[in-house]
Order: sequence, then structure tokens, then C-alpha cells
Amino acid sequence: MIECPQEIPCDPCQANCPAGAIDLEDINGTPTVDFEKCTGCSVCVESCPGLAIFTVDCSSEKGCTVTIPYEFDLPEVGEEVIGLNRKGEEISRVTVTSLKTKGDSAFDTPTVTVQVQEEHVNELRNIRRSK
Amino acid sequence: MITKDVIIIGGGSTGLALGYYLVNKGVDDLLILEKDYVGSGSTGRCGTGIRAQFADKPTIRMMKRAEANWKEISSELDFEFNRTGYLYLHYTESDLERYREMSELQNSFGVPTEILSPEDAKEICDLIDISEVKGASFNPEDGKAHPFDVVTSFRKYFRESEAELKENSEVTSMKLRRRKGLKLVKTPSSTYGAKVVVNAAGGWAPKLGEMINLDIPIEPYRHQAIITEPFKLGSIEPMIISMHHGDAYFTQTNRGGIIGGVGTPEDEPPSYNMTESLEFEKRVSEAFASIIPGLKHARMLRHWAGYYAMSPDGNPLLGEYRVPGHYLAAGFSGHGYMMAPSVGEGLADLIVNGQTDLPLDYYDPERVDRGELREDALQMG
Amino acid sequence: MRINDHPILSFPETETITFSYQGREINAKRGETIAAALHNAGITELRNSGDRERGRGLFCAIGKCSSCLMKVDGVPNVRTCITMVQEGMEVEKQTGFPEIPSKSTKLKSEIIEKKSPEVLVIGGGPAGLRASLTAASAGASVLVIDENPLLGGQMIKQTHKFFGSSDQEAGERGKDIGDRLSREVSDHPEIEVMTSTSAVGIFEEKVGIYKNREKFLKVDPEKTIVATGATEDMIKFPNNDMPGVYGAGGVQTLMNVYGVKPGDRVLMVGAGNVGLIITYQLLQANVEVAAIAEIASEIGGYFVHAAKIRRHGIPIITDHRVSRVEGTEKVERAVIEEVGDSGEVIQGTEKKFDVDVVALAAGLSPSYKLLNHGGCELEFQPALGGHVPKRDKRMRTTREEIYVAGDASGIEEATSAMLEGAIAGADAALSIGKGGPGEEDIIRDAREKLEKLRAGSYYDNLRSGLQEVEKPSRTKEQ
Ligand SMILES: Cc1cc2nc3c(=O)[nH]c(=O)nc-3n(C[C@H](O)[C@H](O)[C@H](O)COP(=O)(O)OP(=O)(O)OC[C@H]3O[C@@H](n4cnc5c(N)ncnc54)[C@H](O)[C@@H]3O)c2cc1C
Ligand SMILES: Cc1cc2nc3c(=O)[nH]c(=O)nc-3n(C[C@H](O)[C@H](O)[C@H](O)COP(=O)(O)OP(=O)(O)OC[C@H]3O[C@@H](n4cnc5c(N)ncnc54)[C@H](O)[C@@H]3O)c2cc1C
Ligand code: SF4
Ligand code: SF4
Repeated sequence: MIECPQEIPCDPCQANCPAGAIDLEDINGTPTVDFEKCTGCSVCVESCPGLAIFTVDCSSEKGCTVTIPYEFDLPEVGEEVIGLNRKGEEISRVTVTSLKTKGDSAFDTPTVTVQVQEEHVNELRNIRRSK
Repeated sequence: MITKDVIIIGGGSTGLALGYYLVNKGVDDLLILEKDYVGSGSTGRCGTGIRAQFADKPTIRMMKRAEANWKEISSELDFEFNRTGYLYLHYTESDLERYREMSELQNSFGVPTEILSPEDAKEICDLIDISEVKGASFNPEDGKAHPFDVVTSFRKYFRESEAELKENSEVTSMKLRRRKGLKLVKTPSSTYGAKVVVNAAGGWAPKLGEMINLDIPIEPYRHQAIITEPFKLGSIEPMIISMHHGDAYFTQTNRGGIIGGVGTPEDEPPSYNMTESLEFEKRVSEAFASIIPGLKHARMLRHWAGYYAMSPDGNPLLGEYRVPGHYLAAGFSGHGYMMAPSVGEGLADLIVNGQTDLPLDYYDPERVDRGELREDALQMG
Repeated sequence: MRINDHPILSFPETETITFSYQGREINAKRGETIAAALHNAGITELRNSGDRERGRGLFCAIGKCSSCLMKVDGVPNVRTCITMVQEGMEVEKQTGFPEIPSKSTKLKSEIIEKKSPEVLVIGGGPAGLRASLTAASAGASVLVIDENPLLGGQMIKQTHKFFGSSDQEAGERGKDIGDRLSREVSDHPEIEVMTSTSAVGIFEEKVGIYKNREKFLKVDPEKTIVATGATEDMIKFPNNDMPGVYGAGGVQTLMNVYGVKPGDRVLMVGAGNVGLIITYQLLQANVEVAAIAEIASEIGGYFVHAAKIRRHGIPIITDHRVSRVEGTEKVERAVIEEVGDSGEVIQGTEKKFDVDVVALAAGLSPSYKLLNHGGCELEFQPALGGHVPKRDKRMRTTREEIYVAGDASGIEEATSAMLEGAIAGADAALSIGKGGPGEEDIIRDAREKLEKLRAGSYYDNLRSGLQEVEKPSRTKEQ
């Protein structure tokens, strides 16, 4: 999910997608994803300077996950955290299934993947540690 | 065409003070034309100093009167004129002796200049390093006024009077003899006629002369000044002068900055150059820091240049010139600001009554044609 | 008030030194400024103003205002935000206008030295650094000076990743770009670097520079590139001078360069990119942000930056102006009010926030003063942030030997600043007979990239502003 609706001069998402799934007319265009090509690798999430990309993956039988870029104090895998929507309002408690630290990340943006109920995949865009 | 009794060209201290005295003497039908804004010439760039410590009789008389007038005008127009004195520091016995003689002459005209010991000089400003000072001359009646205060007070005065002050009105051409002696003065937007036209255009006076094919013997020499960041008011009350340090002069303004400069090198030719030089900053900092060591750490906030409008003998050209009704009031070198109120009064007398009790004869501009040059007035800066 | 854990930055331990403030001993880290050290010790009122004796704190933190002036080792009016703290330094608060020092001070006496590099670059931000590298690579000898203690300009505090084209530095964090450029410049054999050094004037013949607390130098370059960046704008409201009202960039410098928290709770004013980004960075530094107040009806910054903040639950309150701040000695509260369509205040809409910091992100103005002093023709162009010099497409001002680049030529971004720097550096080198076709390529390439960068509809105003100040080249463009 790319949430980048303005014509800003920026292109790393397109340039770095290994599957060539992101289309950007030119540097000032707005990116669109070809979901047929997208593998869900989340490289774009790590590369986007605007932290504007999230991956939603419902391909697994276990349910859906959302991967968000997260440049704050990182939770631990298995930790229960509070899922927040675009306005920072709580929507539900979710569990961290995996993470990439700044060092692990291909473009030094840490990411957090959480298990999310299907009805929330288009809403959950942030987390907060509950402590 | 708009006709006026008197038109003054130039809104510096000279033009403004003359306008003020003309209005005081009943000439209301008066127009002052200024090409930029009041004080944009040398007046707004001057060192704020007002003194009567001069070496020749006419100038001492003019300045004595000017100081009295400054006092009156400042209270009427409500700006600060601070009589904090001029303190000349002398670093050689011979200078001290020369100034002692000068002070006697000044005393004879009622100017109360005293000769002080180095310790007494330190009493007046305790920041001075007196280790090399041999003595000082001090006239407590000398003083300073901030030119921005002065020109804005005059602007307000003219706004409230019948007379008219027009800024952003450059005189672009002139004609002297037409229609029963009416002189024509043009700006880009209007044409004016007047019986009396006064050229009070400072360093630009010769340019106006060119418009009427008159050679006005004045040349503009660049002089620079600086102001530091503000310090506690009262840090440096008098204008401090040292001929020994390259004609250095400085004092503190009523906003706190230390304003002043040093002289221009003798070999710098006249020009309309108004840029600053780094070499000046070097000389100024060395001079100021030698006189007051603490000033070593003062930062200069601004640095600018203006003109000393120089006549062949360094004295102003004041009075009717070549054509009846055509007056000159320019060529004030480094002391036109301080002199403006007596120049204004004397010239207004001449224009209105044909005579004055001030020694304006001495400054008759036609003296240059006659080859009667005066002694150079005591210059500085 | 040090920041200990930061998700992006690390603040290495350095030697602890002590200095005195009003006679009291204070610990500091070597390598931080006096103002940062005092903030860390909880001292935010740095002086009393000259004429009204009102308390003043830090504002811009990069040496561009006069809010932080203090007496240091007997010398008054020292910009403590760019002066490094030193062991045994004596720092005193100034009340009113300071006295002229009466005794001799601990400072070394100034010597006047002369330097004659081929190219002088004033300002070591992205524009100046890129200009230096480009000119030096073409074979010119370069002196680059910056009045801050560190090179990198505004980049050193940008912890976020930059947009831009991926074949340039896009996606890299601003700080990393700045660090990399600074390293390249410092390592370059043809470039001499002087930090803590201010250019004080561009005179006819020479440029005057002052190495803080050391010496005055005359520089006699063949070409001068002015890359002095920008100054943060102040806005009008009662008590806007109270300690606790900062430029947003000042807040950013304190926390991201020196690792010192500006306070506990912040009201951000202005929802342009700067306001949005710094809000996000405050959150990263674990400082609470009460809200962002924006006077316009719309958020000026990029959607993506606003989204990052919204999802943390920080309200962005549009159509609101700051009406005043309140507090006894420093900010304790900020009050905002709604404004109507024609700018009128709507009564009864006051909202109060208990905050100790109000950060102003209300715009930047180009630092044009040196250009003005140097006699370059200026023009007022609101779309570019204020007064900017006229120039041609090779960044030459109306004075042949003076170039401009970066925010000083109009408020834009680091990417464009670097491109302009490359153009200025390459043309300066070419004009003194250094470099060759390669430099022409650099210029052509940078121009193309600039045009692309500025092509989007977000930049319509900028483009029309640029059109006004860019005059045709004096020499034909190849
Ligand atoms: C650095 C410096 C320090 C000085 N310090 C002192 C000091 O301490 N004390 C002191 O007494 N004197 C000092 N002087 C000298 C003093 O400034 C001048 O003698 C005085 O200001 C002259 O005033 P003015 O009105 O004759 O000329 P100006 O102030 O130069 O005024 C002339 C005006 O005429 C205008 N003008 C020119 N051409 C035209 C035109 N065509 N149409 C309309 N208007 C025109 C100009 O714009 C200008 O405003 C100093 C001068 C300098 C440069
Ligand atoms: C919060 C924030 C976020 C930003 N985000 C982005 C972004 O995402 N992408 C992007 O491309 N840009 C971004 N920018 C903008 C970018 O940082 C600036 O456009 C860029 O730094 C301008 O570069 P510059 O070299 O012109 O000026 P600066 O970086 O400001 O450098 C100017 C330097 O000149 C020095 N200087 C000034 N005067 C003198 C003098 N007289 N003598 C000596 N030195 C002097 C200063 O100390 C300073 O170091 C952001 C800016 C801010 C404040
Ligand atoms: S998730 Fe991977 S494949 Fe899909 S768009 Fe992003 S980078 Fe491309
Ligand atoms: S990298 Fe991010 S900000 Fe840049 S265009 Fe792609 S989605 Fe938008």
C-alpha cells in the first residue's frame, strides 16, 4: 500500500523494487503498485524516505500481517502492542510477528510486522508499545 | 508649472535646517526636494558630532551659534541633543601646545574649552588608556545628536507646517533665467518655478551645477564610518578624538553603539564611490583599540561610506552664486552636520532680509572665483 | 536533559569538562556549545535583553540571531550557540547592554593574516560543500569556511531520509549525506577548511573573515561562492521573546546535534515540512508534542510527512494562530485561536496548551546580507523566501566574481542546494581556467536535474519566482 498522493520529486520506491512492481511516470509522478508483480518483499517499505509504504500480506493461512516502517524504540517479536490508525487512535491489540532493526534493514529504516485482523489491514498504520 | 517662493534641493541637514529657519521667518511657500529620503546623503552617514572647537574665528562663531540653535531646535522638535563634550586627546607636547593656543582663541568667543591632564581626561571617560596621553582639550558644551532622530523630527515638522518636503523627488534639470527671473526646477513628475533656488545637495552639488552650466568647485571625497554592537549607555559620553591615531573619532550613540571612524588616506582621489573598504576596518580597529583597549572586543555591526563635499579651501560655499536668486549651501567637508543650524539661520536671514549677523561673508562662494581662499578649517575624520 | 536512547542517533560519550556559569561550576561534554551545555544543566534563560531587560533564551542555535549572547571570558556579546565550551571558561549572563570590557581579557590578540585561495566558499552546508568539491576536483584551490563548529549546515540535524532521485542521495538520511560530504571535503588535498569562522563582509577587493576567539583574516580569492543558507523567521505575538520560544531548527540543533532535550512538551507552530519533520524528530527524542498549530487552512508540507505524525495521534490544528505565550520567567503555556477566512480572529476559540517549548516553523529567509554588502543586485521574491540575488543559470550574481548557491539563493532543499553548488563550483573553476569539458557536463547535468526536481505542481510558485530572478547568462550557454 503506497500512501503517497502528491507529486513530489522522489523515486526510491520505484528504483529499488526488485520485482519492478512500482510504476512512477517520472520523478514527480505518484507511485502505483502492480499487485500482480509485487512479491511482498517490503524492500520499498524500507527504502521510502517518506515512510509512506506499508505492506499488507493476507496470503498466509494464519491470517494477515501488516509491515510498517517504525523509527522508534522497537518492540520484541511476540510482544503485544497497540495498533493505531492513521490518526493515532487505538484500534486493537496486535502481536509482533517479525522485525527488522536499523542494521537489518536494506535501507536502514527499521520495520515491524504485526499480525492483524483482516478488517483492520487498511486501517492499522502505526503501533505503540503498551508499557 | 507649480511656483514657490523658495526651492531647496537636498534633504540633508543643510537643506532641512535652512527650510526650518525659512519657515520660522515666515517663508511658508517653500519646497524641499530630496532625491531619495531625508538623510540619505552624508547626513545619515555622519558621526553625530557637534563641536565648537575650531581654529578660526568665523567657524568658532558659527559653531557657537549652531550649538545654541541645536539646543533650541532639539527641544522644539523633541529629539536628543546631548552636550557630552568633545575630548581631544593629545599624545605629543607640541599638539598639546597647539591646542592650548586654540583653546584660548575659543575661550575669547565664549567657548569654554579647557586643557586637561591625562588623569582628568580619564575622569571623563575611565576606559581610556592614558599611559601615552600628554593632555587633552575638552569643551563640555560640544555634543552629539543622532542624525536619524534629527531628520525624522524635521520630516515630522514639515509634515505639520505649510512648507512642503518631497522625498523620492530627484531634480533632473534646472534652468536659471526665464520668465522674470523665475528659476525652473524639474523632477521626473513635475516642473517647479521659484524666485530663489538653493543648491544644498552636498557632494552632488556640482552635478546640479552641470545642469545649468555652472562649475561648482566642490569635489566628493569618500569617508567611511562604522558602528559597533550596543553597549551600556553612558560607556563613552564625549566624542573622543585622536589626531595621533589617524584622525580617529568615536562616541556612543543614544542607541548604545560606538560610532566613529578614522581619516581617509590623503592619496585617495575624489569619487562618487560609496563602498566600504576592509583596509578601513583594520585601521579603525587598531585606532579604537589603542585609545580604549576594551574596544578590541567590540564587534562592528555596520560599516558605510559617505562624502565629505570639499571646496578648494575646505570651508563651505554659502550664499548667492553667479545668478541672483541662485544660492549655494554646500561644501561642508567633515562638519556640515554640526553647522547646519547656524548655516540655516544665517542663510535664511540673507534670503529673507538680505543680511545676517553671522559671518557668512567669510563663506561667500565667489571667493573661489576671486582666488581668496581661506585657511582650512580644523578638520578631522 | 540529555537524550540517552535514540532510535536513529547515537551520542558518544566524550570527555567531561567543567566551566563556570555565574561563578557556579557546570559539567559539559567536550565538543558541545556553551548554549547546549547550559541547556543540559537546565539553564535556558541566557541573558536579559538590551533595552527592556527581558529574559532571552536560545532561538536559532546556528549563529544567525542574537538571542544567546553572553559574556564569555570577559568578552560580551558572544554567540554561545556556536561557541564551543572549553575547560575553565567563565560564562556570565548579560543584563541590558553589556559594558565595554575594562581590563584585558584572556583572549589571544587578533592577528591579521592573509590568504589567497582561488575559490572562497562561504558556508559549509550542502551547497557550499558540493561547490567546494566540484571546484577542487577541477583543480582550483579552495578555502571553505563556516561559522558553526561543524561542517554540514542544516544537514547535520536531518535524521530523516531525503526525498529525491535515487541516482543522487535520495533515501539517505540528511545527516549521513552531510557527514559524507564533510568527510570528502576535509580529506580533499586542494580544500582548506576553517570552521568557527565567519565571513563578516565582502569588500571591493577582499573578503574579511573572523576565526572565532582567534584572529581576523583577509581573504583575497579570485571567485567567491556565497552559500550562507537561511535564517528562521520570527512571528509576532506577545511574549515571543520569552525563553522557551525557539526556532524549530534551533530545537532540532539542540536535540539532534548535541543530544539535549529542548524541554518536556512542545507546541509546534507551522505545518510546513520543517514543522512536520521536527515534530516527528521530537517524538523520536521522546519529547511530547501537544499539537501543531497552522495559520493556513491547509497543511503546507508533504502529505507523507503529515501522515507520519498523524498516526502518532498528534493533532494538526489548521486555521489557528498563536495569540500569546504565558509564563513568569519562561514559557509555561501557549494560547492559540482560530482565524477566519480574512485573517480575523474568531472570539471564543482560544485553546491553551501547557507546554514549556514553543517551536516556530514559520518559514525561512535567505541569508542575503553578505551578497548585499558585496554589491550584488537583490530582488524581493516571496516565492523564494525574501531577498535573493539576481543571477544567471550558472549561479553568477550581478557581480562577476561572486556566485550564490543553496538556500541563500532562495529557500529550497538540500538536493537543489547541492546541484546549485555543483554549478557554482564548476563555473567558478572554469572561469579561472581550471577544468574543462567535464565541468561543462557537470553544469549541464545539474541544470537538467534541477529542472526535473522543480517540475512538479508543488513547485509552481517557486518556478515563477525563479523566472523573475534568473537573468540570461552573460556568456552563451553551451
Ligand atoms: C563618515 C562621515 C562622518 C561625518 N561625521 C560628521 C560629524 O561627526 N559631524 C559633522 O558635523 N559632520 C560630519 N560629517 C559631514 C557631514 O555628514 C556633512 O557635512 C553634512 O551631512 C552635509 O549635509 P548636507 O545636507 O549638506 O549634505 P547631504 O547630507 O549629503 O545632503 C544632500 C542631499 O541632497 C540630495 N540630492 C543630491 N542630488 C539631488 C538631486 N539632483 N535632487 C534632489 N536631491 C538631491 C541627496 O540625496 C542628499 O540627501 C561626516 C561625514 C561623513 C561621510
Ligand atoms: C527541518 C528541516 C528539514 C529539511 N528536510 C529536507 C529534506 O527532506 N530534503 C531536502 O532536500 N532538504 C531538506 N531541508 C532543507 C535543507 O536542509 C536545506 O535546504 C539545505 O541545508 C540548504 O543548504 P545550504 O548549503 O544552502 O545552507 P545551510 O545548510 O543552511 O548551510 C549554510 C551554512 O553557512 C554558514 N554560514 C552562514 N553565514 C555564514 C558566514 N557569514 N560566515 C561563515 N559561514 C556562514 C552556516 O553556519 C551554515 O552552516 C530541510 C531543512 C530543515 C530545516
Ligand atoms: S513489496 Fe517488494 S515487490 Fe512489492 S512493491 Fe515493494 S519492493 Fe516491490
Ligand atoms: S519513495 Fe516513498 S515518498 Fe518517494 S515517491 Fe516512493 S512512495 Fe513516495
